[in-house]
Amino acid sequence: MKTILRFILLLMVSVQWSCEKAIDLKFKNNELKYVIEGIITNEPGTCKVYISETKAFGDDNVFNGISGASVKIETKGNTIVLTEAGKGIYETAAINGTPGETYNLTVNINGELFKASSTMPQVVPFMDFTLKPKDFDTTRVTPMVKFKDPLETKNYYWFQQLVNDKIQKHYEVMNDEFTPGQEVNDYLVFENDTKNKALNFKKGDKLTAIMHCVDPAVYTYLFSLFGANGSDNGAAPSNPLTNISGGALGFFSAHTVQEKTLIIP
Amino acid sequence: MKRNGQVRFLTCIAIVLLLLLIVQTHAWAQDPLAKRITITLKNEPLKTALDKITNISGIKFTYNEQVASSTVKLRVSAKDSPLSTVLNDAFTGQPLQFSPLGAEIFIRFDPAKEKKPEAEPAANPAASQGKRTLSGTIKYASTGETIIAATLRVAGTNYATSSNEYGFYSITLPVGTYSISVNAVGTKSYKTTIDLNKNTSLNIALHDDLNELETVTITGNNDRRRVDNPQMGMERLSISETKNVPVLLGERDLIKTLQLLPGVKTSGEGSGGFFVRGGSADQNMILLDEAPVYNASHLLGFFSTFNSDAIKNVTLYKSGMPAQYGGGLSSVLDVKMNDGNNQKFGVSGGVGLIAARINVEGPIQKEKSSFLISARRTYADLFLKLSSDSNVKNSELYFYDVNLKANYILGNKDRLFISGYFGKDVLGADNVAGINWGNATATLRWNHVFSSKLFSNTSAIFSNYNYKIKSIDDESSLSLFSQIRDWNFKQDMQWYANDKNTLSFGLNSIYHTIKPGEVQATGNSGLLSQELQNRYSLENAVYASNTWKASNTLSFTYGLRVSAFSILGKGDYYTFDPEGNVTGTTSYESGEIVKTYVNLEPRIAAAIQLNNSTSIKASYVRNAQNLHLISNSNSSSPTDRWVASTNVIKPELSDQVSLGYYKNLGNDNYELTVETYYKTLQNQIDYRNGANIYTNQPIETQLLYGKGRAYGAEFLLKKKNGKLTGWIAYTISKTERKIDGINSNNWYNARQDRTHDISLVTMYQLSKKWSLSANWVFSTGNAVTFPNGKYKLLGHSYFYFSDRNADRMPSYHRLDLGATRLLKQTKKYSSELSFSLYNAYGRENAYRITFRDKETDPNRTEAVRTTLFRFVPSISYNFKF
Repeated sequence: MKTILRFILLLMVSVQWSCEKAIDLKFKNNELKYVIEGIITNEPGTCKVYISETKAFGDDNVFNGISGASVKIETKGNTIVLTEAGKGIYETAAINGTPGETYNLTVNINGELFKASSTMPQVVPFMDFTLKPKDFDTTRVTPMVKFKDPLETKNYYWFQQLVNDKIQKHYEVMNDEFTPGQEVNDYLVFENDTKNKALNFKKGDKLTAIMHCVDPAVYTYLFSLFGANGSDNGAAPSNPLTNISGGALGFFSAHTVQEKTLIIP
Repeated sequence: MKRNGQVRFLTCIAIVLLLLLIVQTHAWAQDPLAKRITITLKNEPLKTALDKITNISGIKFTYNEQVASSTVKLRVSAKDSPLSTVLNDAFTGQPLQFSPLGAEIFIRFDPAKEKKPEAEPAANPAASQGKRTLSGTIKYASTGETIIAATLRVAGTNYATSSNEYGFYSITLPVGTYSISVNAVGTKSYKTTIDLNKNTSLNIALHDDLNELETVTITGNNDRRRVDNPQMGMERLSISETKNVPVLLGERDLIKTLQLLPGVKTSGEGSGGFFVRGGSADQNMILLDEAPVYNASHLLGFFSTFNSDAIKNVTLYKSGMPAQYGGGLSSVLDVKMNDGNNQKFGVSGGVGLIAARINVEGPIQKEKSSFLISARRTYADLFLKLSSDSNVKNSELYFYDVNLKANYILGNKDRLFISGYFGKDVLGADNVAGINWGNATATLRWNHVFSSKLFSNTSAIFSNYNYKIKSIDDESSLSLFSQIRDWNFKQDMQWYANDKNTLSFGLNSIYHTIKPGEVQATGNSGLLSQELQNRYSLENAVYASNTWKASNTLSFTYGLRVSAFSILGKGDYYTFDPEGNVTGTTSYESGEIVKTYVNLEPRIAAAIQLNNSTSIKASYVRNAQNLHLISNSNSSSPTDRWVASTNVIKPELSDQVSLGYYKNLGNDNYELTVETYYKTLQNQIDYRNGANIYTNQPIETQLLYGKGRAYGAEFLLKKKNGKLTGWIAYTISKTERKIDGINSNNWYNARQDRTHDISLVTMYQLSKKWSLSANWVFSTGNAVTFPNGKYKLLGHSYFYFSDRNADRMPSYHRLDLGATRLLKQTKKYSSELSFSLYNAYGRENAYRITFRDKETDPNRTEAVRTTLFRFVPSISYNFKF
């Protein structure tokens, strides 16, 4: 479906006399908000929490880390305190994420308390990541992912995409609403939508798909983050629906990780 | 039985309505002609005689020099008789006429009577006191097309009427001899004298005023607006008025001309969607020959579905909707197709930059029956073939539409119409993915004239809208199909009860079937074919309304529409918690009533005529809407989802009061309209933040509800005659929403809230061959949401938004130019070339503003404005033979 909507857009743009130009706008003052990005995976010792603060639109894009927060994760009655490894980056190797376990995050920044909870889903095997020759174009490559959805549970998937080991902003989220218990073959879209031709795809480029099984709240967050900037046809932008209480932006997710790579032939 | 209960309820309401409408007759008989006098005149000169009557009765006469110096002598003898009888007797056989003019009596010469022999027996006094009805049909002499809203005036009196949607008129007058004149836009005035001593049928044919512009001085009075009618908030355009307005790509478009009127705003650059007085696009009830049209645009909204070749007339009601209309919260757009020329066979058509049109019409039997076929297709897809991009090259992109109509005149009293519309849009790529959508409507109508006072229109209507999205590749395919289908029956009656009251009443019943979505999948994608449950509903309405001319200066329209919307099984209906999660399910059997919403919709209007050319009007109207378009976009998308009211989704309601001032100026060459309104909206629907529109969950899980309000003032000054015609329109307005769960439950600006909106439309007849036109529009930018800050997440920049729609797009303005060159004009053949230039000074208007990392410096973010359509030229060739 998304492909089709994209396609309509493409047509609209090609057919219309459209032109783009960077402009100066007056923005209201930056409203300071904390941003928490917490991740636990089923890979041994992977548990990281990034804490930062929003910046004004005109500022640079450098991560605006917040130091001195107290970050704790509780699971099965044990509480682990994360240590600050860099400005705003908190981590621990003491947690080995396990499917089925629930993790409770507590962050205290200068007395402000933020809480979130996430349960790591069971692993759904990532079966294949392939590219057919006809799905290759210099500006757009659409390889296919394959997995078998388990019928018994409701499942939510998140595919992160990398080009030559560089993480892309574009990602894909899926659920099994229309595919319960089925073997699913679906496309990922790798695209160069900039004017920079150096970023076009060529033979030998390495494409990576990282498949995560996520819990429903994280799916909702990522789904709404995807559309947060509003749509081209005028849907109003809104902030994504976070699973963190206390008024912080961002999300906390305990999820599984499987990675597959292909080289453009 | 639930259903019986509903029928009984509606019947009761109908009876109550009819009782309410007990006709007031003669309640305002205090006119000067009723004054009783006793007098004897023996061959007195006219002026002396009138002075004598004034002395006795205290009633004054008004007359011109010719009457004053008349040599006519009057002779009469009356005892305690009404002045009307006295004057009737005295003027018998004399070339004179009288009529009330406020508290006075107007006397004037009537040359038509002069020739009559004096010996004609004196009018029977009994007959002269009665009233008789003049009725008939008004049409164009050249084509036989009936004319909507032609005005019939009785000279020297306040009597006037207008033809209805089918060209029928009826006017009841005291017995007497009258000079009547009939006018319509673009026709020569028709004048005749009628001796009304029995009910008379008079069919009137008006001749086209081909040289309208050259002969301005004599047609100055032609289409004088009626200011006495309580109807307000109405804009009526005939197709000839829109002909010279320049538009994007030269495709003449009624809706784009309507967008230049005050209170009507375009939904986006080049778009055929529109918002009326703060309402959203789906709150316009669009009717094509009485059939509802659910998606009135082609090609992602850039063109309206109405092919102007086939259209006779459009009427837009922004407020004070007559009771016969319902179902749309903010406006009714009533589009009437041509009937087909029943005089001679003709072909017309045109070729433009993106589309070609042809229109064929003619008599089947001369003056008895006719047909019309009008078709249009775009060929923009040919340009795609020129593209170097193979994706674009193999794409399909076109729309076509066909209008068909036939009508039969079955004697004097009956007329039968069959009309149909079929339109389809196709977008496709390489035969692998695509979307197509289309409307189809069919209407069968029967006009019957029961008597000179009672007109009936019966319609049976079918209408269908569907879309299909498909995606095919070598291993799998997917299609999504969705549909709305209506069966509709309508009975409308107009009863011209007497000279003071005109009633309309009727009923309407629509059976809706909505197929929200049917997914068919094959192959290895893993998608399972499935079907969302169909939704069935029955929408019934009865209405009655009376227009009461209380006096010469005061008139009222009061009516009531009662609508009952019944949701029918079979299907599952749900209950929800505040977060939108399903908490319960009830299954209903086929035919079972899930819920019935009954709404009383009063329609009240009043007009006070201050003088011949000025009036003040006020109105209150309530509307209910039961089919809702769930959309958060501003341009229409074929996949916008229509849902009917459910146990949870309540009917949308609007209440609107408005007040207006109307004046005809400068010898009726100018019209000034000022209207203000205040409108409240209830049960408005919006998507939740982060809603998923492609879900098989009940749609209610994705929705939020709230209310809205809109208010404003609209100014319109129109110049109707002369070499230079056109109008200037200015609107100042505010429109807001308050939805539970959005913007912290505070009021916020609706996206289409544009504080100031100006349009200037001018057309200038340079010479016989050349006509020029120009439009200029200005409006405040849309209310939008800009980021308040940004943050880094997952290695990329994202934006933080606070208040909904608290920011503004830059102001929008644009100038369009047009020119038409008449190439050839003979009786048999005419052709012309039209040129236009859209956005002539190339203003870079923002279509959208997006935010992203800079391509050149990923460490910075930038705001990017997308502009469409600068300096878009077009040329089109039109012909007619």
